Amino acid sequence: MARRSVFVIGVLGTAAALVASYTRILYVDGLSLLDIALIAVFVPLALWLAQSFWTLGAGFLVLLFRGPPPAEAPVPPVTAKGPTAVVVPVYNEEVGRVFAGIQAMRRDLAAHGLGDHFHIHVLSDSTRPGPWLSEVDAWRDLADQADEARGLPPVYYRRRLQNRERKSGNIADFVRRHGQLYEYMVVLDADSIMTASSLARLVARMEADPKAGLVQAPPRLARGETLFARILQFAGAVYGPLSASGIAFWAAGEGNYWGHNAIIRTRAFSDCCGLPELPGSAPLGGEILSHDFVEAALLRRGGWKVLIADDIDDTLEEPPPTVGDFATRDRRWCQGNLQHARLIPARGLHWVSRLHFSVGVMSYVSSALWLVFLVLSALQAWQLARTPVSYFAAGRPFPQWPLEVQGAALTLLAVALGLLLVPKLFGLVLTLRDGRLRRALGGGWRVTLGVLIETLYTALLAPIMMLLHSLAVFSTVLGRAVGWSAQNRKAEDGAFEQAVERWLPFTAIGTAVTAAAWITSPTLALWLSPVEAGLILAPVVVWLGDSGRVGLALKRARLLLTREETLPPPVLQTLDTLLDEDAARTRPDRNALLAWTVLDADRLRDHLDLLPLADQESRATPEQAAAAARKLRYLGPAALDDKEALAVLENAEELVGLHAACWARWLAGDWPDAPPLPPRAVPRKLAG
Amino acid sequence: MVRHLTLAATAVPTATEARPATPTAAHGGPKPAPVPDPAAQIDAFWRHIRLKTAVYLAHAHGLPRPQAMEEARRVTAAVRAETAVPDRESALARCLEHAGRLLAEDGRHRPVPLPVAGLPMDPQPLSPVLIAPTPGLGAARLWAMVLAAMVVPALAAALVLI
Repeated sequence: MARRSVFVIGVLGTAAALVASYTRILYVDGLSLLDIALIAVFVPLALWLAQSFWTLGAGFLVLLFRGPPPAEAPVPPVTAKGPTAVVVPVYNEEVGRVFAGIQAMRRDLAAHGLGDHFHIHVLSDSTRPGPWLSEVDAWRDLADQADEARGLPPVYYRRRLQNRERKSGNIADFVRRHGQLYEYMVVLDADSIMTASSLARLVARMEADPKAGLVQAPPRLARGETLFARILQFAGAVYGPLSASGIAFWAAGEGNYWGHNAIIRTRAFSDCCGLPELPGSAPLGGEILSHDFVEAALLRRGGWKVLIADDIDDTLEEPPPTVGDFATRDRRWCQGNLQHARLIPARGLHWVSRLHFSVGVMSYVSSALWLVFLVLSALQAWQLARTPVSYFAAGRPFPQWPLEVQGAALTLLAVALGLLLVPKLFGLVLTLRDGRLRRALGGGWRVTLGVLIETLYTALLAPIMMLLHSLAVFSTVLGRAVGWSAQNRKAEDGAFEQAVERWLPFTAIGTAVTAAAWITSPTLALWLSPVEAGLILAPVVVWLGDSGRVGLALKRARLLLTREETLPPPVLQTLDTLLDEDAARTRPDRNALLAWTVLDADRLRDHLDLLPLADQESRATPEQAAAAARKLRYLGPAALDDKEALAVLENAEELVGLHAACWARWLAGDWPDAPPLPPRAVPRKLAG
Repeated sequence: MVRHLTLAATAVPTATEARPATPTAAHGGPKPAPVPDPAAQIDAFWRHIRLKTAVYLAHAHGLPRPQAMEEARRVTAAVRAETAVPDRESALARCLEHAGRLLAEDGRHRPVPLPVAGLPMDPQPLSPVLIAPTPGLGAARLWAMVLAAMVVPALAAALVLI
């Protein structure tokens, strides 16, 4: 393909030019072993820089010629034969937000008359009783509303009792149980929001191309409040389209899957995407963690197209609120992506799928390589500082003057920085050109100022992320695996003291590096100053980034705005309203929900109906369940720890027995810590 | 337990109410301890159970109060007819279970069960092309790409040195 040839020639040519310039600089006094090591490390880094630049450059050209998108995306008619499943895997999430998002999407679908074309499936893998019972509580509310307002798509809920193979296992379980019912499934994340228009357009894409196995819509970031989150979403708004269109340009039908906000042909997924366990143990063996890239590669291997719909720009997700949450997520992703290194040579994959794996691996390994590169450069500077200048070599009659290469080095640095920064200008140019977008983002000056703020902040954050990514890479390679923790999606303003306490080690490292560099050579210290500044100021940088107050102050000043903030689509407006309503009410805690599940016949019936849907046995033995049930009966709900509560809740027989027994004790006033009974909206009439 | 006993005590007639007139009292002598009426005591016992069952039906099953009372009366009568006088806790438990069974099929079932019609998700092979005997072409292309990616910049560097 011509477009790929252009891309590959551009990447290799740019990398070759960078490496050649660098080698010329190092060769000025001959090549030492250290120089060779530096060149060896620089080669993959140059390829990485060039790949990133040409992807964004290609995206710029695509968007430049395509022109601004329409103000309101059309909603095509849905012509699929049956309904499309919208699957929402959840894992110990903040229930109010998840279900408000689902409800907002349902209302949007109903408003467009598309409710009959979609079924929403909440696929829970929650392992704690509190989130589980809250999910059921919220799901019951949604299920009841479906009766009241016609046109809302139905919502189904299922919780696995044993969450094998994490998210990929959760979706695979859905396909194993209901795959034949749906020709397509749209996979969402717990914080995803998709407009009715985007859902309809994704279905239309699949209908239009029978060879399409997966269509990925690039999610935009929205609803961030902290400075860090707002910087991420502003960057996503200004530069994100370049990246999506660039990848779509060179990937074409060999695109990638980012795990959510994508539509999948269910039969193709079933045929191609069963994931094996990798030989060996975690972190690099065992279960495949980052399943999405692998599933895309397997679909392509099976002959299906994997497409990136870079023109569908109204699907949303939320950014991690704080730098710490971002780092935690990155640690998990790093492990998953490094696992992909083992799959690069897997048999039968398309070479572009291998390239996607390599790019994913380099996203994290590049940080470690930059760190090694900086250390080697510092060593070299130290060596040079200690080598006396010798003008006369033995056997040579004329003096040898030291050659000045600082100019060449500065040029190379400028080019490398240009590869990083010019794409930001591409994004700025496209934003300024689109009048509607420019106004939505606060006007030309504010967008430009926003780009400057974003560039300055990410420059300060870069060395911190470099160290964090390097730590993640080294610890993964050394065999330290991370668990599957629920993702924090809500910001809380932290105190400066906490930031100092957590990020002080980075300050210490930065100070040590600065001091060592200064002692070696003040010039070296100056060269490293951007890295040193970020590390020394780490607590301040992170504290500012994590601050909701700073983020909102900038929002009030109309800086770092996104289109979703100034012209929110109806689905986001509904979400905000629902979240306000949710915040106004008090959600019952775990103990109240546990007691209500046992006492309230209606709730118990739902619970018992839901239990067998997963077709799995509880991890707790019947003896453990019986012991926990006795404890619940005589000591009350507060006496049970999470494991005991799960044992009872996952055992239908014990629950049925507990209902009358706990009621008898409650009526006798002898059930410790008995919570008030659940409110009943409408008294039920007895049949007959 | 305190509340349990208090409620039971209120349900049972007081000693003064239940006390019959005796010849001794008529003659002005000391009043003997009243003889409790067993039938009244049993009625009070079941009345108490009925009230509790009604409370249960109203709260656990959401029945309106009159219907809860009526249903509790029927349930209590049925349980009373088939048992002797049990202890209070087991009598109440039996009534609650009986009431629960009567209403079990009556409520709405929110999870509308979807038919189980799944597709297989068989694990796909991901063995490396390097150790797999075929296809050789795939391996050759893979390594050609790796070499091209790494060697082109290295060649450029070498050219600089020449």
